[in-house]
Amino acid sequence: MSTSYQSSAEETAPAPENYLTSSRGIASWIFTLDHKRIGILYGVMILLSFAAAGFIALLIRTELLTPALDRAPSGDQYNAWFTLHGAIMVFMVIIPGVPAALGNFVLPLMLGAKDVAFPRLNLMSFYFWLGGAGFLLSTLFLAGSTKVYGVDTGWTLYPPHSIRTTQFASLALTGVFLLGFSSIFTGLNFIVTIQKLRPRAMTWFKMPLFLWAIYSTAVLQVMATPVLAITLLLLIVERTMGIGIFNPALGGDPVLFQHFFWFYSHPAVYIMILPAMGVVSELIAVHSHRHIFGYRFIAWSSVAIAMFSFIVWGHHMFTSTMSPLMNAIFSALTFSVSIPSAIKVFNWLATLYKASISITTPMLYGLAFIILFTIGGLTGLHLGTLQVDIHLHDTYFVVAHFHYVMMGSALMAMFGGLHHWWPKITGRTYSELLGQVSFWLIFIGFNTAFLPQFVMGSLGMPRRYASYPADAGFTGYHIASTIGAYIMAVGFVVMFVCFVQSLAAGRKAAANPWGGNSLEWHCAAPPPHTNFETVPEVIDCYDFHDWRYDAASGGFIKKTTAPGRVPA
Amino acid sequence: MRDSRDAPDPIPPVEPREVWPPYAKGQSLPGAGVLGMWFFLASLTMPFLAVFVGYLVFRATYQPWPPAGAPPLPALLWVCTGLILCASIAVHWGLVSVRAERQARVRAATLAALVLGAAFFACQCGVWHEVWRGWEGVLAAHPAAAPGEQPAVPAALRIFVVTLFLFTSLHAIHVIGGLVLQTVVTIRAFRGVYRYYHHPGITYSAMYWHFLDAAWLLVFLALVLGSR
Repeated sequence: MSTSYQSSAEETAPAPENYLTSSRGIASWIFTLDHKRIGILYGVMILLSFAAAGFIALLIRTELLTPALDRAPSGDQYNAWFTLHGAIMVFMVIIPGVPAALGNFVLPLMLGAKDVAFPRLNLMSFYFWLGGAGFLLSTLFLAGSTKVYGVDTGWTLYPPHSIRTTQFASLALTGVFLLGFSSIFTGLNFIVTIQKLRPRAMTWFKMPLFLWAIYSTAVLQVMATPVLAITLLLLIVERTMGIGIFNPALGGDPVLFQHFFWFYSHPAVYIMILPAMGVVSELIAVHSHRHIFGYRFIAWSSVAIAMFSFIVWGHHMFTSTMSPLMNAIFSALTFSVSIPSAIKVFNWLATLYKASISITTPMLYGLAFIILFTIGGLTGLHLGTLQVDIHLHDTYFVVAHFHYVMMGSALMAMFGGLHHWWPKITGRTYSELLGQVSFWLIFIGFNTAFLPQFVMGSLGMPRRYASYPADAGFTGYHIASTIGAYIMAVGFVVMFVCFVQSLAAGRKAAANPWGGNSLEWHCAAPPPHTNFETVPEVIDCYDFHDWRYDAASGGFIKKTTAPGRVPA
Repeated sequence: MRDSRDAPDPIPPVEPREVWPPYAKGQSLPGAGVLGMWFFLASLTMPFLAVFVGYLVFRATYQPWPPAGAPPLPALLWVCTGLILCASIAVHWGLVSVRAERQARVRAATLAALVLGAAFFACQCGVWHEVWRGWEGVLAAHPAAAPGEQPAVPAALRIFVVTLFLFTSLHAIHVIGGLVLQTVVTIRAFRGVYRYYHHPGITYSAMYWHFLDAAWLLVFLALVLGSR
């Protein structure tokens, strides 16, 4: 850029080595064992998948703009659209989004470690992801006997339809199976890394809260995903050999599939939301420049959510012929999840109280998370209530609820974290103006798209329908929803422009642009290949007093005052 | 065996491999592998528990169990149990021997575990053969109502045979992985790679075969006690 700060001197002097420049060539990327590069590989592929699934979402919303089935080629094609939108978003984007992309990059840095415990396993996980993604996406280009491109089972893959369908469901099942292995090995790697690679002085309760969240998530990934794997394997065998385990026509039990599926897929919801909560704990504390309130409560609530997640799967099946007693038990257990969730929200609010909040783009995402997660969480109580759920089951109320939790919470936190760590990852600053414009477009678009869905859901609009009666009063809500989806799409385009502009012409970022104090901010930006030459000194990662803003470098630098510390 | 059992073993020195990241030059992170293995085995346990629960559901659904006309459980299941228990003992013997630096015994133990594991798998194939023969008997006893139609096998009978087959083959898939692992470990043991102070392969394969042993006992007891 044309700014004149030290330009000539700095450009002629050899830049210090960093992980991007330490080795060159395509092979140094595809065979890399560096956690930072693997994180980048994941990040790029996940964002591409997000764009693809987002595009499919626009197709869905365009079809629903008018009551008639007029824009999708056929109703079956519409089924394939929402199936692939869901499957790609869940298995390829949100589940690996925060842990595998951001987590891979940040986790060893936060620990002051040189890498994860098993770097080769880490690379292998990425290739499992890539292979699984290849299988799942290949169904996009294959038409079954009905000239429909894609799989039409819904992302939940319920039999008996998933057994009978003539689409290439087995390919998609194989894809999700492989993606599951990627998830398991990533989780395994992170568990061992966190347990074994912490510096001696970093006890469990001195870890950044992001690591508590990642650890809880990793336990879920390791213990719940294998159940999905065996379920998918059984479904593949069922489709190819007709053994009859899940096929009621042959004496099997399709509800057993639902139990198996939700035994994984409910914990999977927390695999998506827990790392997001970890990101938000970092965002809220760093950008409000105040010590996180209730550290231990936030840490333990992550563990509590992980444990509760294993015993509430039945609330997805209130209408699937479970006994009234089981329904009541699962309903009661479901309500208990709200306790650790609320603990987190109240501690974040207490952290914000009387803090000197910087309204930066990551902070906006963090605040949006609190609002949207609260809406998503509280509408979950309606669905957890038995009688209300009978009415709301399979309506747009459910669609709106899980979009508030998955998109409004998990993905908002992912994009907040991406902005938060972007200067660390790339070594470049991004345009705060573009960042905030894209945030507001996404935030407004999101609420325009999904708030009306609560209303039309409770009025009775069923989910997964390509058309609806013109005189039922749903049309206005659908139009609003579609307009919101397009506003969001514009927001993501602006975000893309913002990132491209940053990479092409962004100013060189300071090592600590936000004033954070966890160990990744003690490292250069971008970090060198080996992260830290020596084991860094472990300090309270939420004590921000030792940093002061330095206008020249555009970031925070250490106060030079010796022991007697002056509060900021 | 390439040399007599009591001769001192000429052991080639362990080549220090380049390890990234450099936690300590030429070494992997102490304790990480075993911890990772524990979580990996915990993870592998979950599918067995899932299939076990599925088995219990079907057993409770279809009364009486085993259904009338069901083929008897293959007697080879008992032989399989004996073989995998012996394999478990063999890997433990290998672990004890390598800690005592008894290289000849390490070679014998790893090879024995490999042979016993392969014998278990062969025995397992025999089990499936017997199950298949039983299934053919069931098909013969319930012929199709008209030519060209499916045989009219009662649902309970079909589910009984299918769960028997699935439960054992889930275990067999893991045994194949164990055989690959044990082959590598045996070859490396014969090369004298494992020393009393550094023998990760022996440790991991021992843990894995103990897991296979425990998982088999779950399968075996569920089938035997469940079919009474």
